[in-house]
Amino acid sequence: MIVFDAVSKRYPNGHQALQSISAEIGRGELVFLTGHSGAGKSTLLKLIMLIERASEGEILVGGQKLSEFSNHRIPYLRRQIGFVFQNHQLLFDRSVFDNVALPLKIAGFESRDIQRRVRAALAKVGLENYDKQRPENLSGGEQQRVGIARAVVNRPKILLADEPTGNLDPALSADVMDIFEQFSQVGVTTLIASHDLALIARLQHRILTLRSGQLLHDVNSRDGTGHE
Amino acid sequence: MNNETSRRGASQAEAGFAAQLKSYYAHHWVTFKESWRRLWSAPVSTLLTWLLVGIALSLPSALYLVLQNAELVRSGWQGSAQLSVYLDGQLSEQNSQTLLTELQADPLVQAARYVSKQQAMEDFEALSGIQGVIEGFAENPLPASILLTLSGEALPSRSQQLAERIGSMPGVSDVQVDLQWLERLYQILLLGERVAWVLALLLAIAIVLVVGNTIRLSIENRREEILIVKLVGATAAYVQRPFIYFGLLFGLGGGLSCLLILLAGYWWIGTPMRALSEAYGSHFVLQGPSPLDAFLLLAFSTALGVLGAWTAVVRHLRDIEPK
Repeated sequence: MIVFDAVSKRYPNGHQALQSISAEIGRGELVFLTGHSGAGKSTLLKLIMLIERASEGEILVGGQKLSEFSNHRIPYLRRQIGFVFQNHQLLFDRSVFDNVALPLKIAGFESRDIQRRVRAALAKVGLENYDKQRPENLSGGEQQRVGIARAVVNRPKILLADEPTGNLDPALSADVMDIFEQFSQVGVTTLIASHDLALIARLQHRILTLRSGQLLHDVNSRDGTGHE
Repeated sequence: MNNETSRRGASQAEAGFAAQLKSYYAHHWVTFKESWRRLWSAPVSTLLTWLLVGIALSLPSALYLVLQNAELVRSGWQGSAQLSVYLDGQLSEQNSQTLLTELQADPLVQAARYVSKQQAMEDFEALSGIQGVIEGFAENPLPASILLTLSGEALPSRSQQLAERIGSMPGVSDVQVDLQWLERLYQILLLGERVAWVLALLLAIAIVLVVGNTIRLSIENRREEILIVKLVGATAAYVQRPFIYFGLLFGLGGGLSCLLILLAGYWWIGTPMRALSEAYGSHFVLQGPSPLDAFLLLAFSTALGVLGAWTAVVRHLRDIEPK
């Protein structure tokens, strides 16, 4: 579903964020991306979203070469990908419903469909009756779940998350990861950047470890290939 | 959490084409209403912007209306412009009639009347109230003349040319033109028209800048939101649409406030103007903005608002990209 073929990213200021990364993430796989801050986790996610473009190499998303995506088609790529931010990035000037409905409105869904899908997405993250609430009245964990609902409301094939549990306590973090696992089980390819090693280790999924822009380990803890 | 089996899984990230088209127009309407609602969430600043645009527009518009009225007055007077052609004393009665026929044929001449020496004296006596003047002279000292009434279309410069041409005709001793002040008025109106255009141009630029700056601020205030909608797949057109509608509403509201200012001014000046006009026995009526004028004004101000929004969008919105 996502293929990295010798991908490098050098920023204009000379910083080499990623160096010759090659990896393949299959359909419905849940993969953790870990490493110290500055190791290139965020850059990797940005390349998939075309927030940044690779300096070298090729990235394929759902079989599409990202190097062939012109700038004005980037929005259509992003509509195929759900993105969960560390600080949830909700809009506080509107209701939970309107926050979650945003990607659907942008993609041009009819309001009847929007109603149905938003309720379904909120149900999936366990916030059935929260649609009329204001985000500022929710707890951190609830806000993050609204963020996840917004990311999946469009039924994307790919779900990316950048430190989704960064601001949450361990119990809430486990809840959030549980939601991601459920999406992966129904065929959503999920890539989660996180440095919460304890949590990741317990979850038994494939882990990509980055160090200074290079891929250090690609291990699948479920296969018993070990984890460092 | 929810029952897993009921889920259809990851599919259908795109809406159908017909739905998208329908949604496109629906979104325009929703965005328009949303922009309207946002304008009214800050009523004072919105009203001030409208007033600012309205005042800026009202200066050249009012000048334009004044000039239009002055032009009406001028062309009214032009119709009654007259040339007095004094004939040579030696010119025979028959030659005078030939000249009269010749002058009547000129396209600029609406009417020509021959005034004989005898008639001139009678007119003079009647006008001055002095009887028996002629007895003091051995001969009637007043020349025969032809009075020409010029047609309404005659421009002052062409009337002047006509006067010069007639003056050089045989048998004509002098031509009296009282057109110089009309010529000057005409030049003043031309000058005023140019001033109005320059003023309009400068103030139009000012309006574009004001609207552009207002919209730049509103873009800055919504930076977060813009970043988020871009990340969830909004196109550039989707992101800029509300700001273009802001510009449209600023321009339209400004045009309406300008129209109100003009109508208030028309009402304020119109009444004493009518009284003045009646006092001079004139049937001149002050012309306000016509429906066409009003329409053009609104279209122009709306276009300026959209242009202002466009400059802000091009300069500021495109730079806001997720990093």
